[in-house]
Amino acid sequence: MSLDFPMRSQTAARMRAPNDGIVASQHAQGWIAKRWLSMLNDLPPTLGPNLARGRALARTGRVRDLWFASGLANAEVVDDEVFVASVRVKPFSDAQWDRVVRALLGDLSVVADLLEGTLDPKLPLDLARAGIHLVPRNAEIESDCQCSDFMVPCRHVAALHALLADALDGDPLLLFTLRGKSRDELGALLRAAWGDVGQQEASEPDLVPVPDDDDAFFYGRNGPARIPIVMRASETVAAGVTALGPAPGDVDLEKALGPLYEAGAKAAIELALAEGPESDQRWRRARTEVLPLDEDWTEKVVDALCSIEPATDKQVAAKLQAGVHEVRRELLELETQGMVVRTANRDGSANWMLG
Amino acid sequence: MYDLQATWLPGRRVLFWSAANPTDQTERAVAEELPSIAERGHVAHHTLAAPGAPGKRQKVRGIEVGIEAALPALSRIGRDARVSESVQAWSLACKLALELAARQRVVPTVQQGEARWIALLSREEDRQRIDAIADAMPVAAHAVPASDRGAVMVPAPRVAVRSFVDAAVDCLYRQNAHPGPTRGWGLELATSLRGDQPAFTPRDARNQGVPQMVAAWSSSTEAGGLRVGFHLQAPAADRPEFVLSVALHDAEDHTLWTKAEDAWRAGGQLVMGGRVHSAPARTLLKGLARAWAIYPPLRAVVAGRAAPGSISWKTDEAWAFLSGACERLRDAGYVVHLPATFEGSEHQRMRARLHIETEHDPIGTELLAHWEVVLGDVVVDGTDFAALLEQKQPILQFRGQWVVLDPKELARLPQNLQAETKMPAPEGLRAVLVGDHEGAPVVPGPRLKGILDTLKEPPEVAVPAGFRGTLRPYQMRGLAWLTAMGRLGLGCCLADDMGLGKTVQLIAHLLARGRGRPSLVVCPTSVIGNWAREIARFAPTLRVGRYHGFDRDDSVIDKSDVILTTYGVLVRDSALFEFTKWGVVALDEAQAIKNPVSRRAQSVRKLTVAHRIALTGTPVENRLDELWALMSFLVPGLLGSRQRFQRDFAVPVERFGDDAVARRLRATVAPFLLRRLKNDPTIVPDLPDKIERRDYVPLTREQADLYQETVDDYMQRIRGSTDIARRGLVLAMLTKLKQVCNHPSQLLGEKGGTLDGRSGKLARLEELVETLLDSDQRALIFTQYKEMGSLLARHLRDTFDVEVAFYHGGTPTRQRESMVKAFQEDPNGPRLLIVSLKAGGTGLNLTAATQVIHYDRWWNPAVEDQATDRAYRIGQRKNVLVHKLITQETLEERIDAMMEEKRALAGSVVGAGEHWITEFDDDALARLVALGGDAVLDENLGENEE
Repeated sequence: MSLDFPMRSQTAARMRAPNDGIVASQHAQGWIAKRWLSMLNDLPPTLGPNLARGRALARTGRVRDLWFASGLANAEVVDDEVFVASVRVKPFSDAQWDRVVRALLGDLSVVADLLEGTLDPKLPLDLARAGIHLVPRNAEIESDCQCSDFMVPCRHVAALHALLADALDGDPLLLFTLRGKSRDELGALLRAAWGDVGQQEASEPDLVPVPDDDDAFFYGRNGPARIPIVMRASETVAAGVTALGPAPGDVDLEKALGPLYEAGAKAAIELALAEGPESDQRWRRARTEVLPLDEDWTEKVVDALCSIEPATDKQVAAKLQAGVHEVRRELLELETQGMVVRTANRDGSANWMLG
Repeated sequence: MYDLQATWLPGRRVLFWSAANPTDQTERAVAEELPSIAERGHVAHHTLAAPGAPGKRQKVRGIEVGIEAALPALSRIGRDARVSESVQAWSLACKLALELAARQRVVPTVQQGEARWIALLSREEDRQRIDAIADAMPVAAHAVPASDRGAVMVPAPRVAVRSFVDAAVDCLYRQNAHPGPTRGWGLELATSLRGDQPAFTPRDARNQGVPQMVAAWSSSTEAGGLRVGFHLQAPAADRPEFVLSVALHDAEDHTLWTKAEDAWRAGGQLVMGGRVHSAPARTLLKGLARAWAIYPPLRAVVAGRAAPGSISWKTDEAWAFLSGACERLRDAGYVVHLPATFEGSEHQRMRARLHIETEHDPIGTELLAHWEVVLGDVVVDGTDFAALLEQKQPILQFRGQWVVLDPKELARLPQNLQAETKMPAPEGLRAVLVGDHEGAPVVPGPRLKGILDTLKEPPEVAVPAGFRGTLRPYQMRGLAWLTAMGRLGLGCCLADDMGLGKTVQLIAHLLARGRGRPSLVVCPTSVIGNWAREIARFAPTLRVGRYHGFDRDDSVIDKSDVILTTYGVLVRDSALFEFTKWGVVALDEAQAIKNPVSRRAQSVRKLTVAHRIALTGTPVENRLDELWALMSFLVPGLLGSRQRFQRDFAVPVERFGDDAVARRLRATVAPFLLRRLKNDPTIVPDLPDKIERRDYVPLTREQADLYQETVDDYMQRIRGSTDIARRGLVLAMLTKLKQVCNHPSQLLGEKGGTLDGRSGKLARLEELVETLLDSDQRALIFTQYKEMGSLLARHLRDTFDVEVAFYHGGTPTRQRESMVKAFQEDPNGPRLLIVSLKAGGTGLNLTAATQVIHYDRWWNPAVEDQATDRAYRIGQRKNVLVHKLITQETLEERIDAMMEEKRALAGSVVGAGEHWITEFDDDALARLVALGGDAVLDENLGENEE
């Protein structure tokens, strides 16, 4: 049987795919990915099966924990065992970084984007035209894996490559990391060029000591804050995204989250208007809950009284399985209409009868 | 609820606890005050920081709920509710979160692998409000120690408020909505932002950087001390285009700024106004990057350049910026300077304005409205406007000035500017009074304006012929106002403070109207006798018909000028009342119709009336649902439907403290409401320091039966006895009768049981107490009888849910002192003090009271005056209102009348107490105690409960 399914026999010893595996796309999308993967095309044809298996591993979510450091990327590949595969890239020299910085400073809009953590995917292309190749050539790469395969790259490194291509496409700034400078380090390098070497302003502490003052525990300094609150529905959908400007990347969050925004805003407005047991003036008066009188209700009370009169309001309520308060109110109303009368008991309660 | 505290716990939970009562008292307090918390929370024990020495901790038992259950309760606590400051702080934070959520000032972020919604605080005023809540917050609100040992450190207030608001908006936004059209990580993010599975770890290799990127994006507005600003300059003689330049502003003082070019050159440090800002160039670039994410053309400021510069815009480019982008940038925390013309300054903005005029005087059921175009206050005429429209430019030059022609604004205008439309009068009036119609300004035409001015300054009127008595100056003004409103057919509410003589003003008004359609006065059963007496006294020429009781006769309606009836009868015989066309319908104690869905409110609305009037002593404008009920009778339609009113006015004002809405509401109802306060400086000189009034009340059937039994029983025995025995019997009878008049329960010596609806006096007392509690006054209630005092204390406590102090001969000295102190000085102390003590003890100072109610009588003016003087001190700049409750056509009324007569004749005090009565012969005695025909009202006094 197994001979009929050769691919299956090869994977028989495999571990289960991890549930936090990262998935590579079927086809390289952006130019950086294409450029990266083209390095592998120059390899001898004997490596073809390794590359194919590596792609398969990457596309089935068998790689996890993709991790970048200066000049290095590695990941765990879950195959018949778990192997750590890594790729090293030759770092730029100081002279090369100088050229990068000089090129970037010619257009402050690019610098600004970099500081905000985004990068136009075309930028590496522009730099390449100026002779700065962010995407390494074959000779600038070394790879390593824990597996026993002597061929380079093994299928695990090939899987890592497939993932790297996609990851770099999604976040081109990682190219700088692979060339030796993280985004923060690159930022520092750029800032140094205009003389900004300080730290950002210190933020407030998250924790504070309890003041040595009894009153401050229960009372603020000047009583409760008097701030205006104005409940208004937003005029635009996803106003938060609009206000912040579109998020970087290839997703239109205004569209994606629009219905969620609408639902959330609606929930907020409904809650703001909702009535509940803690009505706004509860503390003022206890007598305010008054319901409209309902004609059916009147009949019910009269019927009940008919069968058990004379009776107290409690007895009527028990008969109807209704609240004493409501029943009493109805009885009092019926009394004003002359439909029922009452006599006072010596204990202060009243006996009700049909009038 | 003052001592119920709310503490924000880690893990998005709130703990409600009480420092004063650490045990099950907390649970009871929560169950009473915040029922929904009690229902959804559970008992929990926590260690919190304790007041006093640093390092102290306390174990606390309370009710813990998740934020989803805390929000509904916190949102419903009124802005003026009497709650602890920690509860108030979280209630405010909750409402701020609701506002931000409703305005969609919310963004997604990723924290520790979870997608969460957080508040977007890019706007200065939003940040400031977070700060204001944090600054005012007591430690109890965030007293969760960060560690178990050592010095107690708790979350910084701002951090706590921020985390609460973020948790609240996250909770509100996790609804079950389907994401919009999207794919890839957009779908994954949207899925993690709804429901209860917040984990967000994108699967695709391309999207591994997304969590970090989203987090960086959503926190990119966290501000330092500098703000990027955009300055737009209008074209000048030497420069045909608009110019946009960039600057860095001081975040706290926007008038301090530096040009971007200079800030860029400054590099590492920028000094402005003596303050040192680090990294200005970095702030500038990051700020710009965010700005062009919002409005891409701004990229041109630095694109392809090695230093920031300015950009030139043509008119249409400038308009694109002006008409939307600049607001969004301001929203995002940027400073935007525009030429004055475009800075919302009205005189250079063409606006559509609604012009509303009345065809008739008085106002009919409809008003006429037409639109006009104004530049500032000046109306632009049709041909000029047409010429401007021809240019099809949003910004253009008109009479040598730049003016803005906002297309959105112009969209309001109808095709034909001359077209007049009809508008329902209440809606039109509301628009004119508020000066706003769906965001457009509104002006009244000259005739309508004249009418409205009349209401503010009504023309003076004369005292009507046949009026017996004098009207104080402010009462004359009230009469003039009623007359003016009546002439215009506008309903109105006279809401003068208790004791200012609303009844007299209305009687004068009824008299001044003369004969014609009959008028109807609807009042509570307990005051119908009072009304008849007052009309007979002040306007004896008016024919009064009383239509109430079991044997009421509807023929009085045709024979009378004024019909008196009760709310109960009005409901019962509504068909009869609807059949008549009324001149005036006046509702006394109009808070009786405060429940708008009650039958009485509905019956009242169905009447056909020329002039509707309401009288009330409660501050109606502070109780919005009641205000609506009242106005829907007085000027139907003025405040819109109840649901709309609730949404547009009541909730914003009462729950959220929205001042703009409150002002609009006040402007709308002000012309229909006249309320003068006793301490109003324009009223005070007209008033005596002490106003005394007698409140005549009926007996209930039960009281009358007991009264008659007592009289029959004793009179029989008295007739057969002499001397000391007779004297004893007479005194005993008087005492018993006074007890019956007070309350049957007192005579019968009942323990417990219901008091409701069994005594006319008690019903009247309830009405008085309700009004004075509503207007936040304090009162003394005197009774001779300790038993009656305790009955009253219990009943008032149960009925009004307020603290009632009871001061009597048996109260220990120390307790007396603390009771008096609480009543006099404590703002949260009891507002009702029942005193049962002859002369009330010397030196007893109870001047916090503005009202004194004598529930029963001593028949000794000296004693009563002395009691009254507890509240009133010579030289005090305050008026005291004294009520004496008297059951009508019983011995109480007769003895009172005799004493008044004698006092008036001789100016002397009739013998002290009741002993002189024992000298009466049998017949005189029988006449004195006989029950008069009008003593009883065969109506249920509990009808106020409806």
